[in-house]
Amino acid sequence: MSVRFRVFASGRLAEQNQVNRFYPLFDPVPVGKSYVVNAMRFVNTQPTPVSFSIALGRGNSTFTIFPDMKDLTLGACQCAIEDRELTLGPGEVLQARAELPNLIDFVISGIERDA
Amino acid sequence: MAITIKTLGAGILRPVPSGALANANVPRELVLYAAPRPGEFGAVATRAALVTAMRFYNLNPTAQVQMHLRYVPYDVEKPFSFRKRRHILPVDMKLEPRQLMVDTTPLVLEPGDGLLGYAFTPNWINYVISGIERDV
Repeated sequence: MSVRFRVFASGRLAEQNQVNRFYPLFDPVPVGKSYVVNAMRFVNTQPTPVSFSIALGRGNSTFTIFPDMKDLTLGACQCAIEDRELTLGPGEVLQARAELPNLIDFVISGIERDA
Repeated sequence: MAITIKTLGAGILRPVPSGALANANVPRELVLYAAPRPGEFGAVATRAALVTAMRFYNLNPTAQVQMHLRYVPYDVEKPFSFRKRRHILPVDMKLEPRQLMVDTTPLVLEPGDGLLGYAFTPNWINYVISGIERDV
């Protein structure tokens, strides 16, 4: 039963200009693995407010399960942290949507283990 | 699979001297902690880390001090000073005189990942980073 500390994703939201649509933040959980996401951090790096949303993706569906992070507006230089644990099974992934590209730094980390 | 509970890093925020770790395009941030990976900061082991708490204390009795904290992922293709850095606390966060800030949100670091800190007024903010290191 292998367990690994993992940083599932880090970067900037909508870095590739995926503005105003949900896109996956990392590859879906592979078959035979499961993830425990124990922290997500989002920091607005700019002096202007910007909004974003986080959702669970499964197949072609997107599920809003983070009401605190639905169309959340981050003020200038502010930070949002979600530290309630979330488990992801095979094929599942976290998705993000940002209204402006390349402004919000994020780091998502947790534990990967065999399913 | 060895697990070590330890103080991952402790010290005082100050700019690093210009030189190996410095890059003209970024502030001269101090490496507060880097998860061990051979060849990175003199490490010989390969270990991942779980940061369980980070404490920052402004020792200055009269003035606020601004600081920031960034996460830098290991990137085999880039030297350290050119790796992308991501803020994980509010940008240019202000600590009031004698204020303690404690962040207990867990943060995982894979081997070679690091935490960088910078204080706009050097030598006033003490820091302690606590957590667990684990063999990979």
